[in-house]
Amino acid sequence: MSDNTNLEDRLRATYEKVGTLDIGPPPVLVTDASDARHEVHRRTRPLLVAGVAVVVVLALVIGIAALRDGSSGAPSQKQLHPVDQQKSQQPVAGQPLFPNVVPHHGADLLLAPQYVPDGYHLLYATGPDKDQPGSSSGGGNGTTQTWVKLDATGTQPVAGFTLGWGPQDLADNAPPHVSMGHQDALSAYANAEAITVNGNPGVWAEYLQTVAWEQDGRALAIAGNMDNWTGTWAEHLTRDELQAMADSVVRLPDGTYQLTAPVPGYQLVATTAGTLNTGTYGRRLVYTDGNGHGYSIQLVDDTGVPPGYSLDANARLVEVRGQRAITTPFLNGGDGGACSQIDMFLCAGAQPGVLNANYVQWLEPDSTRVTLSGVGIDPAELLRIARSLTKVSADDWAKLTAPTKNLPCAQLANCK
Amino acid sequence: MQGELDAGEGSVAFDRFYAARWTRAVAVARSVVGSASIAEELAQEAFLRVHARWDSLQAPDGYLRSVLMNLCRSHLRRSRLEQSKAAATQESVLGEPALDETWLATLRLPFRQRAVLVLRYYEDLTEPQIAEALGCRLGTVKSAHHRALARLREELA
Repeated sequence: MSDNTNLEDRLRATYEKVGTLDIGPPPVLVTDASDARHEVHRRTRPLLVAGVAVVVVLALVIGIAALRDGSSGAPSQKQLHPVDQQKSQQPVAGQPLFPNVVPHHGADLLLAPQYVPDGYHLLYATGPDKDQPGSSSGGGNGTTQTWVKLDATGTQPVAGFTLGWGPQDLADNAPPHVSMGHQDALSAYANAEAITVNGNPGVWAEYLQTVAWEQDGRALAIAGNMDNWTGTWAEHLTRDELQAMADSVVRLPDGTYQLTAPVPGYQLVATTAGTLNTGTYGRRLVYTDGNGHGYSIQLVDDTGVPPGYSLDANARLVEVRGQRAITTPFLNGGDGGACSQIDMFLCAGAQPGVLNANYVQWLEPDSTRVTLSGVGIDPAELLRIARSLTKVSADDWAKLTAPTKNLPCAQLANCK
Repeated sequence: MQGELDAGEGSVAFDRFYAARWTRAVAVARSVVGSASIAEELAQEAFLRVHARWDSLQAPDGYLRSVLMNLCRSHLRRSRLEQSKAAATQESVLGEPALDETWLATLRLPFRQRAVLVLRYYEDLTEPQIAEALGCRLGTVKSAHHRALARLREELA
């Protein structure tokens, strides 16, 4: 008991310190009547402006690189890699943009880059580790489908929405964008307009662009993705479109739900659980220039976080090793890696807009998820590294890991 | 700030609310996400949502808290901050102060446990109020609270 009291006092003291740190006065809130959907805009912080500027510069760099050699992460239609053109065709209706992850046990696939940028060297190599990364994020037992609409080239998302479902009492399973805690799903949407969805009680929450309803003793919600600091959608769904889709949702015999009439052009890109399993049998290569820049190459099996989960307004579809891949400055759910003493610089990329972070991610045919996470490295370079990955034998992999095998555990990410 | 919002009694009331709650809201968000700059972004977003609903809100404090927690959760899901060791190293990487050992230990907790601690020991909320703010059951709050303290005791021993 006294231990608890002592700890509670420490927590109070720590949080009080946070409250006395240099927090500035409230910034200006500006109304903008020209955009009915977003009537109020926040004043963007200088830091965010800098971050946006970095992204813009990166986009220009990518564009220039594309004009030069056609290998950009954001190619125009004319400059697509040949396989990009092949992959940019719309998939069969109802089929996911990315293949489903097939569970498999054992790190069968080992990849190493043939291209390492000048000045960079291998910092360390670890794995396969059966129990790593294995961590999870988020919470709850609900399920969320992510749907997006791609542009005419099939490489750039222009709009999106989510369909989520979970137990009716919400408990840990709030459908997407529920912001109020209550014991049933619909009362969670305070001041929402009561509607009927497919004969079931539902609500329309304007401020969340969400249609929520109860069906078969479950709570469901379709949320039109709103713009946020990770990007601005080129298109937005209307209330009528969202409700029409909600009316078309049917329950399948296995207890999941199917959207039978998505708005034309939208496709399912990811199905994720509320608690994200980042994967098993992690194997990881980390390279650095010794000056705070670097990248990791992370392979995991059995991931519950497919690439489509990160297909937001900033992401682009590219081709890597014959597979459809995403390149993005914001990776949903992370790569499953963690930073420690030796590769602390990689964690600097976790803050959007703060440093030049970029990611490339795809699924290999055997469902191994490959993620390249770069900080302070040109996205086009990261993509070039990704495309240089080739299969290596277990013996060759052992040669990569051997030099860092005896590093102190505390220095290595994902080390227990 | 006040002059640029809609005129009227409701707007004046919101302005007062905004000015009075700003610092605490940023501190709460910062304690959950571990970053001052992100915390201010999330707090601004939360206040904007409160403003959008201001005329119909019966309990703006509760609504602000719920929206802010939801934004923090969304942010953490979109980043790697919730990964085990990342958050603990984040502050020093970005040049922000690592307050103390307890602060670093709390940042290694998963979102729900972190949020429960902040709401309990900074906001002084009861467990039912925390359940309301986080949109989960009382039992979930109790277990998260218990696990968070147990883990902190272990880490800070």
